[in-house]
Amino acid sequence: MCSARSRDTISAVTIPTQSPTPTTTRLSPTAGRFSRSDSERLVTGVAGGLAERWNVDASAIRLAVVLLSLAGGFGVLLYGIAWLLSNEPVDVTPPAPPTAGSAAPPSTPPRTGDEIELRGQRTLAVGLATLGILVLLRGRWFWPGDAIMIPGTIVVIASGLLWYRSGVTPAPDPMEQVLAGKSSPLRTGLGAALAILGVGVLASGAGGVGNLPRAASAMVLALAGVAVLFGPYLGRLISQLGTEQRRRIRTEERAAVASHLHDSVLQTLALMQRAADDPRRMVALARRQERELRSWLYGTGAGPEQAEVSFGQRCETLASEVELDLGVAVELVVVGDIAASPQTEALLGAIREATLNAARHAGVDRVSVYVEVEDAAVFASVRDTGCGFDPMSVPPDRRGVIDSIRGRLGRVGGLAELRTAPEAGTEWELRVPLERGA
Amino acid sequence: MTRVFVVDDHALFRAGVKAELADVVEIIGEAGTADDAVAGILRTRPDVVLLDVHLPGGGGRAVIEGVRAGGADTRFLALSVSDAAEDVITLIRAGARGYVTKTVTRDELIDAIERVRAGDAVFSPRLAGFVLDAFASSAPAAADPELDLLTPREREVLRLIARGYAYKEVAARLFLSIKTVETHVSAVLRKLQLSNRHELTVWATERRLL
Repeated sequence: MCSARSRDTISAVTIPTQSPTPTTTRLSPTAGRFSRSDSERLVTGVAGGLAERWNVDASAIRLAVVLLSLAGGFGVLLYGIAWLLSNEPVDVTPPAPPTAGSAAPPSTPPRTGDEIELRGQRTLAVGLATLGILVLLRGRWFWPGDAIMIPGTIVVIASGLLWYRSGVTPAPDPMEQVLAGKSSPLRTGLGAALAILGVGVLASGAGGVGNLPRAASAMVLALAGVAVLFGPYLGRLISQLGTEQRRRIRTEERAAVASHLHDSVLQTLALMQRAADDPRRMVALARRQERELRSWLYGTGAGPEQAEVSFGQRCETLASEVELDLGVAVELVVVGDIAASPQTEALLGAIREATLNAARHAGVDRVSVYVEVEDAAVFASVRDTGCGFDPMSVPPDRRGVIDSIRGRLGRVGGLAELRTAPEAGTEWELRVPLERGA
Repeated sequence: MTRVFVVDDHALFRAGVKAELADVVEIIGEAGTADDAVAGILRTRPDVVLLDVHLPGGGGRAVIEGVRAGGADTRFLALSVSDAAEDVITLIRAGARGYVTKTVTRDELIDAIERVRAGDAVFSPRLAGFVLDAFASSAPAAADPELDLLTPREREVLRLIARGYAYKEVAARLFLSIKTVETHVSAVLRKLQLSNRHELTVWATERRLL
């Protein structure tokens, strides 16, 4: 069948003036009659069969029928006659061509530019013939009036142009497939009917007095028709967009996780391999990574990519930095949290200096940092149980640190209190006032 | 010697604890799952159970409940790498008498085991911080304000523990006896376990979700 059809097409193309004998002798008992198409069927297959026979675009015939039907039902009459003249569809269903939008003349897509051009010309001829018939019919008693026929003709021609593209495009875009898919003749028919009905009502309404409700209902009908015709296309477009977006989000998520793990865990593992001969540093690295990973997993902290970082999170970061830099454990406890502000930044700076100082000079491997957000202030304590010192006889290098801690807090109205004595550990008590509700 | 049972799903960690504590306490058993742990604890009746928060078969909480259902009055010390407040609070409310993280030093762990065996509460700085956070809002929620609020003294003690003070350091700083400090901490533990304060659960859950 396939080969028969393709030979038919080729013979029709190469010898267009002759009747396509191979087909008729093989498939139709009577010359001049044609078989209704099974593969190209919207309603009964008459249009498809004719299109095959004449080697034109099936949708051109369909549109012609619709247009002529508008003219007092002339098209329906012609269609009925054609149906009577036609043969049963051939049993053998050819394997549906993969790109078979039914509006396409598809079973044997024209291969060369010449063929496409010829086919286009023939299709155009069908259209012109239809217009000619319309001109002949114009003004007869069944003529519904130019007010209907002119807009109707425009709609049909527009549809024809839209659909015809499928004959040329090798891979029809989804629109053609959905629009004219033989899978839904009902939708195509209904849509077309509604659209034409709408235009018709609009036209007749306009002919009378500008009757608003009528015009409105016409609009609604026309829109409904358009919706039925184009709805699936839009629907698919939207769902494609949705799928695309979900895929993109998923990809981005995965990329974010990967980049986070790369920046954190992998880097740390690499560092640990280098620090294999320095157990202290290795422990510090492991501890820092553990803290960081846990806060990432359990969400007690934010990723570094988050711009808005709270005071508590800043403290976590500070603690892990000190642990990494000095190999001293920082036991951090945060009670309450608050958005970062100039006051908390000053406090953070003071905590950092106190913690570094303890880590460097106290001679212990652990520093306790406690931060509590109170009603009108933030309190922090930095404590070690190390060697301590006599504040009255501090060496100059530590004097500077003490002054710096006091100075930072003093500038934002805070206070720093130092409790220390030789062999009694060191503890800083730091407090800054808060401007609540600011 | 204190008889200790170790429950942890990581065999490596159990081995490490055993090696570290072998000369100070008597390790009389170990288990890697909740069911094994319940059976083993009911059979051996240890003084103290070192209990991991996360376990196959129901977690540490299932162990505590199973042992309680079996009629034993064993004392539990929760031990975990997880700092998620929800996990810690859950185990304390199920009946554990203390919580330390696995990064605790050997001496601290030994001290904590002895304290739990003696019936005291063990609050690591972090647990103290959790409790302060959970009881932070001053509005009494439920009908029993005694359980729903911490006294100023208890708060003071908890703050110092959160700041890294050992019990005896707390006592010295506040001019109290160690016994009094222990009493305060035990009172806090009782409130933590008995309070119906709904914020406690909400807080712990939110803390995890934040």
